[in-house]
Amino acid sequence: MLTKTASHEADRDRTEAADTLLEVEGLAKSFKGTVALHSVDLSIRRGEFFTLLGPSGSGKTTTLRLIAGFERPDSGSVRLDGRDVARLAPFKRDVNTVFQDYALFPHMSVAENIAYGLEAKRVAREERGKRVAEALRMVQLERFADRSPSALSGGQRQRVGLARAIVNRPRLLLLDEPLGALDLKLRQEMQLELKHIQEEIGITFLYVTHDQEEALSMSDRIAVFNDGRIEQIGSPSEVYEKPKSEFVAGFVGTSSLVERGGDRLVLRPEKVHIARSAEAFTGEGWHVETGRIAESVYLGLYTRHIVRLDAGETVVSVEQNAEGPASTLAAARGQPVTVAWRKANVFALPGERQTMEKQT
Amino acid sequence: MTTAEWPATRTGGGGLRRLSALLWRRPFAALSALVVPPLAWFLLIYIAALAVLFVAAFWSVDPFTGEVVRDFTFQNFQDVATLPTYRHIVYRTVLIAAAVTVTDAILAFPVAYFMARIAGPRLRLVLTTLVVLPLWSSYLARVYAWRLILAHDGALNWALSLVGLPSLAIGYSNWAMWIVFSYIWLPFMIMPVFAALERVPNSYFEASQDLGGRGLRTLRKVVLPLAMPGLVAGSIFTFSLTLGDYITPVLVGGPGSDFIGNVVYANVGVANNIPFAAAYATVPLVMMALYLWLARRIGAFEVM
Repeated sequence: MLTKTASHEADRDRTEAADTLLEVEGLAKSFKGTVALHSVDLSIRRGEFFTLLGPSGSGKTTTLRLIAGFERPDSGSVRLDGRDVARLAPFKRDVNTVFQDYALFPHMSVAENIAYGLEAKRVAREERGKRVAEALRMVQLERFADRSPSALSGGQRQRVGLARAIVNRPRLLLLDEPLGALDLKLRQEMQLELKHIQEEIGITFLYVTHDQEEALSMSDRIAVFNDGRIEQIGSPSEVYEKPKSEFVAGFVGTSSLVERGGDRLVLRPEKVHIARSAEAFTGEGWHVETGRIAESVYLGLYTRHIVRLDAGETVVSVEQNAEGPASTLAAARGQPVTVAWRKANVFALPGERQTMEKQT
Repeated sequence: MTTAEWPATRTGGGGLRRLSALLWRRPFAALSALVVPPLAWFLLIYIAALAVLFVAAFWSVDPFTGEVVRDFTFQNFQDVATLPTYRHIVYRTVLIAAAVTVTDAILAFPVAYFMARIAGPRLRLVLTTLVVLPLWSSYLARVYAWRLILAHDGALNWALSLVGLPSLAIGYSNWAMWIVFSYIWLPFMIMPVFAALERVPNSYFEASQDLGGRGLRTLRKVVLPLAMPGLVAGSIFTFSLTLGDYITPVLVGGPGSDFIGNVVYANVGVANNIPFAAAYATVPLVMMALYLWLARRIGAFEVM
């Protein structure tokens, strides 16, 4: 799946210019003197699943609302298929939104909710009925057409929200933390379903979330937001394996930062190995150090060790419990261990433009 | 959680403490103590009074002695239904109550909408205060004020003459009642509509626009249906308050503007025919019951 997406993307790269659906340039917005968005540039390709990822208040939702037309930008442009829509009303843009709180009209049935956009666009009754039925089928709610939204569960409501948006066949679908109100298990199911629907209908998705796992598992590309700016745009593996800033390294996945030879290295826990002695790490390409176990936590699938390096920093290492809970290490506090990582697997942060206090 | 831990117990505690402990141990007793007084009030004062009213409506008055005769008769209801004067008064009362309700709904909606969705928190507070401020002054004072405005040589005609328009003869008429009632009960319409609109999440407005709904469609398909519970609640106030009033007709209605309440008042006081007053007073009760039933039928309560 992942490799398929990756090769897909390589194909797309070649035809990028022709295939750009949305182009955002210099988008800025402040609310009552507080800057919410400094100057955001991004470009989204046709058919892409593009995610805006960041903590709350980082500007990701503001960006979505500016693209939807719920807010007017202070400056900058939002070009949809080449046409600047930044200052148009929401009903004059060929985009639709799936809301975090569903925003289903409580006085209408499920089918009436879904038909709302088609009615507004004066789609003929017969065609309307056909498209509503098709949308209901797509979200597997055929049986619920005449129910009131209040009679549905959270997951079902959000499916109605999705159907109500995609039935209009927008050029771009905006999803504002659509799974934020659901519990973990349902959220994971819905993630898969969303992804399948997106592949089936081929509509471009712009997805907003603060959940890095969700972003990694669903997206073709991710824009990581921090403090009203985009820190990095890239595929999930690029953002995870080659974070361009300390913030990205800390927000997407967990990582330890160490400074070696003037480079600030991002150490992902799964790439940090520990053993009783250095003998385990013979051969080319290893960087080997010593330290002591500060804490070990058994977590079922793996055990997480926090190791204090003799050089001073603390790093996190995870060890799969492949041989059962009796780990290869007697995980005792203060146990001296050898810590090692392959030089090829760790990534140095570029430059020193990042400030330290941004790490969360 | 034993009371023994508390130092106050050493002093033996007072009756209050023992009562408190008793209520803690017996939640049912506590609940009863809370519920019984208002329930008793409601049953005795309100329901019982209504029952007495209804029973009295089937009695009659001896035309010679003026004594109440406690024999069952339908005569009062027959009079109410058949005598043209009384039927006419019912029509007038209901018609004006309905006109006042519609007028207030039309006037209140934009004000409530502005307060709930457009005004900032400070302006909203100012407007809310302004809307309810008249309720702090006496009802009589306000009706008298309107009398001064609408009278033949009142403020209205004076203002009209200033701009060269002919004067209006609407003082002491049904028009005057319509205007004064609409003014007096307006806050009772604004507040529930405001409350209903304030509860509508912003995302509904955004969703409607997002789906291609322009202002009018959003208003018609989303805002109005969701404001309906507020409009119905407000109309229950304006309709029933107008239906039961008898002071405004006296003060601004002039001759031949009697309301149901005026007939009831006259029969209780001047004519001393309490059974007929009781029978006539059931008319607005039945009207209100019908009104509530109708509101329910059209689904006005369902969105709540």
